[in-house]
Amino acid sequence: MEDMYFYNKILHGEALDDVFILDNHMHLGKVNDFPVQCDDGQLVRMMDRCGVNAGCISSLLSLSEDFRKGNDEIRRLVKKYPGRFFGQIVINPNFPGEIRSELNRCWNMGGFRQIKIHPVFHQCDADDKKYLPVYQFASEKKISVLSHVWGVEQVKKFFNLAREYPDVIFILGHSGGEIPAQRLAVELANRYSNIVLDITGSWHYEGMIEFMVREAGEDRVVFGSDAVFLDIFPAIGRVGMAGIPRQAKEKVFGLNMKRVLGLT
Amino acid sequence: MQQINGITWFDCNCSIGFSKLPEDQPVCNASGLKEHMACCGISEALVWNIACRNYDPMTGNQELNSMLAGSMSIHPMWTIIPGHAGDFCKPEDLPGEMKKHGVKAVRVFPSAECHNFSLKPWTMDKIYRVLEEYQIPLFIGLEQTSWEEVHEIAAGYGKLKIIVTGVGYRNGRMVYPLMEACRNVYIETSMFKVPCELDRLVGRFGPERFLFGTGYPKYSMGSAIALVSYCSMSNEEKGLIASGNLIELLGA
Repeated sequence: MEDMYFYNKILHGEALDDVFILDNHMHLGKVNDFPVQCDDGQLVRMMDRCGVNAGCISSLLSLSEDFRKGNDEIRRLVKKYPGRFFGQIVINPNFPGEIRSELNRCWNMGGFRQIKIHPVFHQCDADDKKYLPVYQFASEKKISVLSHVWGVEQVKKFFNLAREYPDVIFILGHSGGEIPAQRLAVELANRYSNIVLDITGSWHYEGMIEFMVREAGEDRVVFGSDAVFLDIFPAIGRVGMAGIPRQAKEKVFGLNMKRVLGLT
Repeated sequence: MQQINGITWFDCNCSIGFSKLPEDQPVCNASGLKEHMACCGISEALVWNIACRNYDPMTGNQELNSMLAGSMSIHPMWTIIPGHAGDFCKPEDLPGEMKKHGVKAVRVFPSAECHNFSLKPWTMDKIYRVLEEYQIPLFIGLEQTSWEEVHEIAAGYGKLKIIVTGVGYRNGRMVYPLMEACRNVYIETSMFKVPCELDRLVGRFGPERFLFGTGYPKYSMGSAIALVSYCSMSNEEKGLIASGNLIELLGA
């Protein structure tokens, strides 16, 4: 089998050092309903252990109570580990008057390459007009937007968004999560070229990586783990042992996100 | 048993059989399972039959016996129900029937959506006592019960080995006190995708009460393997989780 490399490395618990891996969906911080006991040092050690070169990351504090403090936390992280992290600016649409100023503040600080929105945590649908400054900013700066997307109804929001903002790359975090939602997300990706599907999630359904790659294309699917909210390692195993060719694995693991972020 | 990096992988949580909702529960037969196991480096698996949960346990168990007849690498796990209504064997007859068919573990689906019975002693006392006496491990999915219920059973039947499967990432504040309070509770690892947590749990409790499982064919084998293989614990500890603990429980 051409990709025994992945199987052997994973079974031996060894880093996938020959592959560029960019995790597009990471976090730092805590949550209220279960113990997350993984600081930045432990996160980097986990990345080294399995071969994740870099990650796009947002603060769990931003997504919950304090978007400014959380964004500052990410800025410090990016500075502490040069080349390992790309910051995701989190804004809270419930403070609409501060969206633009926070985007500008973070962008001017440096270290941020994406915007992260969380319609569920912030209780504001992705197509709410409060997000208008976000999509305009993304379009101006030519950066992508990663959104938490869970369920069919949330996926549906992006049919209009993808059409209204054709020069914004929307990464569907979790690609809808549930299987029917993921199927719809694939339809969405087939209709609009500015949609990218993120495999992050806690339910690692057998066959869904293969489905997404087959139906949406190997260039449209990106790796994500949700670490430190979730563990990186299962996500590595899920893609590494998926029934897709080595070339597709390399694209999913990192080459696609390299392209999305405009990295050389 | 095949060893990879000194570790043998024995999946404690697989299913086979036909499913009426393949998107929710993929269809998988014994040969398909074996093929996928070989691909992923898994040597053996303990399996239950979908028909046991979705149709009828007795019929499903019989079907499972014939599906796995002669198999050296895939082992049957029977689904049991309390047989007060006469639709299952008496508790005292269970060990003999299991031995006849080479079955060493049982599973229950008590939820209202499945077999609709109580796990409380007023229903299950005789069964628990038989399982205790014969040291037959009892598997139950967390989605079928509650932590309160697991604790009640484990505390009430101290020699009963209870393996909780499908323990998701949000359960850390339940798992720790339960593992402390009840030494007869085991956790199947596949869904416990919390960073550094399996290493931390093993550091606190030792590796003996964690069992490698995948949830295949619904969930990815690769995901479950990597959750264990990339841990920082020793290879010896990984080996116990990957297969040693299950082998010990099955009395193999």
